[in-house]
Amino acid sequence: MMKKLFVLAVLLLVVGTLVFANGTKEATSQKAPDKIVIWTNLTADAQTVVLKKQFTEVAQEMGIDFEMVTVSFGDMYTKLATAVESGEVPDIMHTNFAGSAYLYSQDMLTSVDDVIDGLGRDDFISSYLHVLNAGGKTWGLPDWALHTSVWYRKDLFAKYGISIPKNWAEFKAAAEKLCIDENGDGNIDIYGFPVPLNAVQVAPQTYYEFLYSAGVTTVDPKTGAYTFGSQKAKAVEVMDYIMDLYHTVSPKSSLEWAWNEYRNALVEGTVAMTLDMGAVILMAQNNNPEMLENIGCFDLPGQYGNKPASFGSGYAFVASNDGDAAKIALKKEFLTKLYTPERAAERALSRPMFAFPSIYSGLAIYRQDPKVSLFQDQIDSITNAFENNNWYWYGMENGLSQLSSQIEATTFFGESLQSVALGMESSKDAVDYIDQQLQEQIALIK
Amino acid sequence: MYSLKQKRNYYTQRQILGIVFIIPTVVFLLVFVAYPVLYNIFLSFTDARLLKQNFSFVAFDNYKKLFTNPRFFKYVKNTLVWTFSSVVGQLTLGFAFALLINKKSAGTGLRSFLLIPYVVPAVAIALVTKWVMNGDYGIVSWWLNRMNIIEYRQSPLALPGSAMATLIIVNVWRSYPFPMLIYWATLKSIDIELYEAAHVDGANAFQTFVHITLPHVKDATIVLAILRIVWTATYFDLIWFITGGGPAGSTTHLPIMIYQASFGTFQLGYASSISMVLGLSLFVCVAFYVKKSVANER
Amino acid sequence: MKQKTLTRISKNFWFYILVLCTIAFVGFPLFWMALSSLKPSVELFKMPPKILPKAPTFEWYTTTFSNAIVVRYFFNSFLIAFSTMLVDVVLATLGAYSLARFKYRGRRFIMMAVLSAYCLPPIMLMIPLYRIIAGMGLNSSYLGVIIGHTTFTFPFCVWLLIPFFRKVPKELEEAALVDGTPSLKIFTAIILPLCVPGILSTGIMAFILSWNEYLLSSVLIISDTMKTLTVGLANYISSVQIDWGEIMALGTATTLPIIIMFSAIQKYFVEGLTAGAVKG
Repeated sequence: MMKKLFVLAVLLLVVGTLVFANGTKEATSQKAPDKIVIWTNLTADAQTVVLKKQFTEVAQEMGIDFEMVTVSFGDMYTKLATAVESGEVPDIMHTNFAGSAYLYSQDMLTSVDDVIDGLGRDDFISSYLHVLNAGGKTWGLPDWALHTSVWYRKDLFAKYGISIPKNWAEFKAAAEKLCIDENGDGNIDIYGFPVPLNAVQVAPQTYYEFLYSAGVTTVDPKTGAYTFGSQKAKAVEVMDYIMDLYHTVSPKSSLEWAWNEYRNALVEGTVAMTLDMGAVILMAQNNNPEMLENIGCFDLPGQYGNKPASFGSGYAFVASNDGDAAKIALKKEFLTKLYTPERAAERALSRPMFAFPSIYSGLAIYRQDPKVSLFQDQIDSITNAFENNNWYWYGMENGLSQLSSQIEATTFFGESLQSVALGMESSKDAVDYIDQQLQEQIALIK
Repeated sequence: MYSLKQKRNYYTQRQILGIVFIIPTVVFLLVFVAYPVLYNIFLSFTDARLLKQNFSFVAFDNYKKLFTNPRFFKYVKNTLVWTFSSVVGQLTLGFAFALLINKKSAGTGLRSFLLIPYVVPAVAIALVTKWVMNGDYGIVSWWLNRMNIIEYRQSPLALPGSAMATLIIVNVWRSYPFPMLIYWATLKSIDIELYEAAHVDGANAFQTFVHITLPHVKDATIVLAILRIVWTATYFDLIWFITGGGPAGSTTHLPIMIYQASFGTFQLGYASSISMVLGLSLFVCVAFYVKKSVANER
Repeated sequence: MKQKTLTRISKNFWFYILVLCTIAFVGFPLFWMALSSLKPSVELFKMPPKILPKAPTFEWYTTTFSNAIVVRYFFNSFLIAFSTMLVDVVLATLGAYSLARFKYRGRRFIMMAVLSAYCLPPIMLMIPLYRIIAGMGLNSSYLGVIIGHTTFTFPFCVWLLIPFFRKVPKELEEAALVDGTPSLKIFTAIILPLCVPGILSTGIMAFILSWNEYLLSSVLIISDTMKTLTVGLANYISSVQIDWGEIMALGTATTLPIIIMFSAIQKYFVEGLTAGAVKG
């Protein structure tokens, strides 16, 4: 008798729990209509402070509540995936273009063309809008964009009589000249150009800047058809060039370097040039202000001079499509209020020379700020690159594509590049593997 | 005096208590251990992806994909190197330290001190490791360069062999206390008269060590090795924090591969199949250990 | 007297050298972390590095703890670890007592299950557990993380507690039984008080395991404000800006309370582990 009761009790409990475990999926609580939940991937203090301030202001103007959740960039895809899976998507998400593509691919976004038209489509830099476009609609409001350039030590260039390189051969020659043993102890104190190859996001970023400069793209910018597979010979050539740089002008530990390490190296004066999105400026302002006036930038030259495209991305505000019409209107009103020229400029200025506002009216205010006053020429060259519509983010050459987020969330690029750098694999095998992985990712998306 | 009936009543009452007390444990094991394991097996035969609610049954496709992936075998090799070196290292060091704290001259203070690594958070020791191995400012990198072992401004974590070696050393540092404790308890249980008798017979220290100490710790070694193989082969945190599986995948072991499949490409079914392969290979060890431990129960 | 100490030292010379080397090996990472956290920037980034800070400073601690989110991490870690400890202790005490002192069918099997669960690695439970907890609508909630942490600490606790109950003399219980004391009272009035040290130390071990856990927490927690210390600390390094001074300060602050707690209970821990966990 006892035993039977016992078994029964256990069974009941188990069944109950299992039902509970699987059955509550639908019962996600309805969010209060006058509260907006916003996620941002920006976790640096300077940026969150500005965002929080602006959100508070806008929420007060509208008389609503908001909740800001910061999700660090490093585990963004894990968090996005788990949030999407459990149906806990925020109302507004502030994420990079690849993250926007990812959310779009999950059918979670509402298009924002009406907001853009309301603000004045002409005020937006058109190439920013192009990236967020898919199927004839715009799925996010570009907040600001970034552009990869070569940041370099102007003083060292002057001292060693080096002029801005115009092709890859000159670039390498300059980097070689800039490997400097200052104290004559036989160790190089300043390296010409670090090749950062950390497997998480950084290695593909390095590779792609060179790929674009040599004319290789993942997909065709016009048609969106897969093109990397047919450009493998060129991709191998590009990889060989990067490896050559790694072996001759880069510190060996750069194999594991990520953003922090190479930026820090330029700011602390242990490398003479580095590829970067301009974040070195904020770092120099914080850590080594004396270095600021020695730093400048130029566009990485094309392989033989003229450059087909460069590498860059940006951040956007996207709105989820859940909720009724009133809720969606509320989200859009919130977004509209964030796009005064002053606010747009203020957000971009929280990361000076890294972030460039998406609206011309904001850009005009941006230029006048003391934080960027030293860099008027650089602003010209970077915004020029934006306007000429020739900068892409990996996998997004033809607008929003989930392929981009798959490249960011995986490490096959990094693993392959590191293997070649360490002599464990030939660059041809590595490119073949990358091609195969890219195709596999594309198949997964479909 | 109580009647027989009363006695039986007490007996039943006691039995009920025992069973009631074990219910939470049983429920817990079923819901949070048995069910997840079964669910994992089930997933490994599907093409389930994170984000997609619907999935279909794909039989052995995930396993086929796994066994035709050339990198899989590389990662298996990494797993083996990592596991066996770590286990041998921690058992050796644990045994050596057990001998040390078993000395009369060693106080309990030393024992307490040597136990500390057992509770140091993996993330803390991992961050220190990254710091001392930093190519530009790390003290260990600097020492190694001074000794002409690595190049100037190189980091041991940026080279495949030394990255794995570093991980193994750090893991040994972190996990020797457990074997140390078990060895120490075993050493204490050896009858002191055995040593005295051997001494009278004229045996030297080495001989008593080989003929008395070693045979006594044999059983403990076997059990420790089994437990540690299981835990080390599946240990994720340390590698994830220090190298993330790099450089060039040289420290990617199966748990890292599982994580990447789950949250890199969101292929839950595929990840589950890797998990199954790992689990089944370790199952033999677990079964052996469990049988051995529970066999002592009456 | 002095002579005697000297001979003792010289007699055991190699032993002491060995002890010193051991201490250096074991202590180096921890000392280096603590020392680094006290060095100002100039000294941190100086080659070759000096062992002791020349101008020790607490600036890293002040900057770290003036960040509200870090205080929040501490709160979260404490809350989660403490709750996990409570759940574990209550359930595991009942379970371990039952397994140690009762005879019923299936007892051996349950014991085997507990031990197998103890060997089950978190990485293999990660996906299903995530799905179960998310399915309950508990992901990104403290309760979800507590359940996750309980999953991998609970079997360990049961296994650690069994020997403590075994050690209570059977005669005590039998005598009480003969006196007609109800079974529940025997448990609460006789057995439990005798096992307090064991239960307490098991609880603290559960606390430590939960405090140190990373994988499940990182998967289950979305918002920054709910992160535990280990997850927050791990993000410090993966983020774009790396402040080694702050990292070392936070690392030290994360580790220190755990070491202190462990030192307080390690006597009982040693007792429990050596008696039960690995009986050859």
